[in-house]
Amino acid sequence: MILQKTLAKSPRLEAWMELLELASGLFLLGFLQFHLFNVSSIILGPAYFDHDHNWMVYTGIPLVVLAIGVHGVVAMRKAPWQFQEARIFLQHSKRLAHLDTWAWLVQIITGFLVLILAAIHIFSVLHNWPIEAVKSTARVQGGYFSFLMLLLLVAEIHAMVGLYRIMVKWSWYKRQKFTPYLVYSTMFFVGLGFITLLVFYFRSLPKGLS
Amino acid sequence: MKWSDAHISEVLVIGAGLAGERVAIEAALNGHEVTILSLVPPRRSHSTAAQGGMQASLGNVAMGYGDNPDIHFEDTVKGSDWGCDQEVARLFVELAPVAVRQMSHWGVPWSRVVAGKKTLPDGTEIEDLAEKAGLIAQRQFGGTAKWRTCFAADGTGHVLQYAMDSVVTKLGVTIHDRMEAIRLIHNGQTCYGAVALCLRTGTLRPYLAKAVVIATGGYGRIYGTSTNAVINEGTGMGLALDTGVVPLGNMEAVQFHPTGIVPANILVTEGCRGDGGYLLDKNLHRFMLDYEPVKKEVASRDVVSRWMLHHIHRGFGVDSPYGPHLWLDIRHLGAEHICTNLREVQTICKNFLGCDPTESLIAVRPTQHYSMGGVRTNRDGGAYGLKGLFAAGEAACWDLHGFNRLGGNSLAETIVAGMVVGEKVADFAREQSLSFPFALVVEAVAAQQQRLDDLRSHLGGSEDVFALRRRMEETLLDKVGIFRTGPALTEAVATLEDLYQRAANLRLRSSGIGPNPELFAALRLPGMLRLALCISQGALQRTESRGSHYREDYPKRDDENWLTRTLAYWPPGAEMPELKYEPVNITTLPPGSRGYGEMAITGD
Amino acid sequence: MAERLLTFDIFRYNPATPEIPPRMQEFQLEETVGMSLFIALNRIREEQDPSLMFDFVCRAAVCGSCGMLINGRPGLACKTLTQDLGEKITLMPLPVFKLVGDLSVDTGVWFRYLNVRTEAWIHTDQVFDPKGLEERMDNPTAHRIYEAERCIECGCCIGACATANMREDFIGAAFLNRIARFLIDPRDERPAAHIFEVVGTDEGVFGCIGLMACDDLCPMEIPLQGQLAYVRRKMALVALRGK
Ligand SMILES: Cc1cc2nc3c(=O)[nH]c(=O)nc-3n(C[C@H](O)[C@H](O)[C@H](O)COP(=O)(O)OP(=O)(O)OC[C@H]3O[C@@H](n4cnc5c(N)ncnc54)[C@H](O)[C@@H]3O)c2cc1C
Ligand code: HEM
Ligand code: FES
Repeated sequence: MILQKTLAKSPRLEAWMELLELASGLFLLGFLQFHLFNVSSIILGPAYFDHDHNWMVYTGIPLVVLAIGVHGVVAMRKAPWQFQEARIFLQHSKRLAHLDTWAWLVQIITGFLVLILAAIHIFSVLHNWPIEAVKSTARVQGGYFSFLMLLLLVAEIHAMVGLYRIMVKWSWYKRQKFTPYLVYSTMFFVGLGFITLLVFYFRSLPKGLS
Repeated sequence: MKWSDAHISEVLVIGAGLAGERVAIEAALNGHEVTILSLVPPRRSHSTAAQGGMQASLGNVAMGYGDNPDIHFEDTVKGSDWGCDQEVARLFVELAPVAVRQMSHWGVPWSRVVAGKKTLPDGTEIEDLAEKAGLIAQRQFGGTAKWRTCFAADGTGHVLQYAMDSVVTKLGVTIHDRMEAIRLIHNGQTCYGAVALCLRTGTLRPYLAKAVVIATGGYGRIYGTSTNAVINEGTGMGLALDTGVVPLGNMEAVQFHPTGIVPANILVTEGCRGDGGYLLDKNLHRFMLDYEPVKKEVASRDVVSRWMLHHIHRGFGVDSPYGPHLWLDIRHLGAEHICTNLREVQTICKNFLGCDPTESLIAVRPTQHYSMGGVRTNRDGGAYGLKGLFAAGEAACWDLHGFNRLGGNSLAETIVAGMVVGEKVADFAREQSLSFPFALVVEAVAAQQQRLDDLRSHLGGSEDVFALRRRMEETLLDKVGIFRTGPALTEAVATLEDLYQRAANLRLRSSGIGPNPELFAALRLPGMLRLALCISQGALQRTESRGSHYREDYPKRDDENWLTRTLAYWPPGAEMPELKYEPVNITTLPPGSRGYGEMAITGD
Repeated sequence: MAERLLTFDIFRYNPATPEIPPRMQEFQLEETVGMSLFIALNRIREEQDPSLMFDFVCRAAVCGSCGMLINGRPGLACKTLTQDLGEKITLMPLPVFKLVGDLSVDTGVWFRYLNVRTEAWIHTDQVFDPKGLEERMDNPTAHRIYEAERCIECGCCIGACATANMREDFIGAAFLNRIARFLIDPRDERPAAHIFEVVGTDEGVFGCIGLMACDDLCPMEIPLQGQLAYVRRKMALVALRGK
């Protein structure tokens, strides 16, 4: 027995952390795709985009901010924080030349990027409240196109690699079986997001707002 | 050397294979403090390589109904060509079922009986009864009247060793791996322990104990091409021989397995033939039908190997860059059977031959496989000539196998002998008090240290370890193989004698510092050559054919003159072994016909 | 096949001579038909440098002695054929395990320690009856246990695992698979909660981040992804049930 370790040990803490990672990841994943579908309603026209969804936004945004906070903490707990660990991890990944191992680095980097980009994104939306097709169009055309494209890519990659990891860690299915479907869905979501952005970009704005 | 350098326990087991670990368990269960030495971590011992199975007369499967220890006894004695000790064989067949069931209790996932009707490859309909469902399943092996070989899919030895080692771990038995015993400490009457060489550092350490057990497995590697692991160099038997007072029994009895793959010399299990595989020649003709119309491919190993080589000699072998070979055909057993019960075979073919046995033939040839001979012991496992020294497993000549071992009897032997000998060791250690003659220990360590120092200082002659070793391997393979003749054996003995003298003048090419493989090889070589000489000399003197020992110039078994066991001694400083003979113990089954291998091999 | 001249770049270090630092050393060897790394390394030892340390036992891919990094990836040297590799072959010892010398590492002590820590043996109150029949088991269950029991403790999954490389305490795929073996086995009477203490932690299954190098590189092709997920679900259930 080693005193400090034994005292610090809480029997189920580590299991709970893992479950929290799973839950927050799944929740954010659900939110992300749901959000994307909502936004993509612009493809059908502003009427579909602008219908009343305040209740969702008012509960959703705080929840998402909370979830990102929780998820960020629990998911980042295993990252190679120490310099030596990071070096070991990098050298190991290089030697091994193994896609899944590199994917973890991608996950950590995209996670960080999402944190920053999403913060900016949420801030810019809140700053110009409420959400309306016109305002969004103005934002996209006013220089946010590439920013949102980057966020879309980074968030989708992070989320779908995350989903892959969850399936690998928890599911009954062989990863060789489900990987192609995940790749197709990622392409679908990125494509949908891209088209949505294009629609925003090429929509004509009422005078005075551009 | 200081006293504090010595490792002291009550029982010292040299070898962590199935036999060694089973002895250790029995001694530990009897309250003794046990230490095991091994060249490698226990789970890497060669026992793990056994794929086929373990014999015990459970009579659980349709083709085994009615089986009992008596029939197992008869098969074993016939298999041994009446060379075995019948009292030992009797003891063994009674205990084998207990051993199998105990291993199940300890966690071995034996394959189990599935009830229902089945059709064998030859068209026979059989039915496994519902009342036997879930009991341990059994398959056919060569030379047996009933299906008796218990198995765990394709990795019987592996799961047995893992289960055994899990019990050893549970009991907290001390294990020092990468520790090679290189000399016994004894005074000509009593054994006090062993000097061991640490293979991590190249340093020496004495291990002292009341009882010492040799369970070091076989010596296949002195033949070079062998199915054995590369650590099977016979160093354990060498320990006993070097004492000068302990004899090795029946060293000329060397088993060749019919199906070593060409060219990697890796064994594919007897289960292939037991389950219905065929042997084919270059015309894809099933030649065993001609030689053994009744037993066909499942006659005993010595017989099948002999016919195979004979058939090759007659010009029916398949030519290859690695010499002629024959084919093993298991395609007709079906992909499902091959992928479950013979998966290891499939993997081996894939990895080492680049072929798939569900679709193609497997190139095979008889390959050195098993040593029936070993440290001669009495029924209790006590070595002849030295108090406190015991032996078990393949390293021992307990004499269950005589001149030919049946497939599946060896795994069973390691465990049964482990139980029996372990108990005797425990009894012995209980009666003995712990005391060691200090001077003897110091002297033994110093002598070994001198050997190390001499080699490391490069003072010796000019002989190269690997070159001499290669020569020994070739000699044994060419001249002391399946077919033996007086002139070839005489030559072999002369060559080996010469090599033995040259081995006194080894010179290392490397520094020899630390865990140096060349140094280790140099230390082992003289002992290996002594074994080689015991084998060749024994084979030369035995002017008859019995079991695996086949003399072309004396093709008949000669019970009048040779119903004996060879005992090879190596008196200190001698150049050659001294052979003595003792009668074989016959209790209930007098010598007779084996029912296979009768047809004379003619030189056409 | 064209005769190739192979170049081996081999990690060298002898702990008995610490004054010579770890280094890579080149050896050249003419390739022969069907050459495996077992054959190649032995030839290098016998013909070029007899002090070269490496481990082989069964040389048939069943004992697990010869795990090493072959061009950076863990694998069994005895079953690796040179024809499947390029002309330049880099060999290094497995990481994580203590180095014995050159390509040889001490997997034995590591595995024994974890076998003790995870109490990897059958726990039962039943007493063996030498006169009785064996307890029955259905064949599919026996096969499922066997599937997990096939692990040869070669350490390739450990060497391949980023977590095991970074964190010393992590028990790795080999032991998570071993735990699965005992969870499946009806003869082991341990309650899952008992196993949870060792395995339901970050040193155990929750330390695994699912990088699956173990699953990709296991020489025995044990379905490690499935085995690990099985243990993870079991352990999560224990945590959720609070018992
Ligand atoms: C490929 C193959 C397949 C086989 N298949 C079957 C089968 O299907 N059925 C069957 O019944 N039999 C089979 N056999 C035979 C059987 O596996 C062996 O005879 C048996 O396992 C030997 O067990 P053992 O415990 O005596 O020795 P081993 O398992 O060989 O163990 C020897 C131990 O001694 C140690 N050791 C050796 N020398 C020293 C030393 N000097 N100092 C310290 N330690 C030392 C080693 O490290 C090792 O731990 C097969 C054999 C081979 C080669
Ligand atoms: C749109 C928002 C996000 C979504 C949809 C999302 C989704 C996921 C998912 C599903 C996982 C897999 C969880 C698991 O393996 O159990 C994951 C892992 C991860 N996430 Fe996120 N995440 C998001 C935001 C973030 C943010 C903001 C960060 C950083 C602060 C982050 C950092 C990580 C890290 C480091 C991992 C890897 C954890 C591991 O494998 O151990 N994520 N994410
Ligand atoms: S030597 Fe046994 S696995 Fe390679």
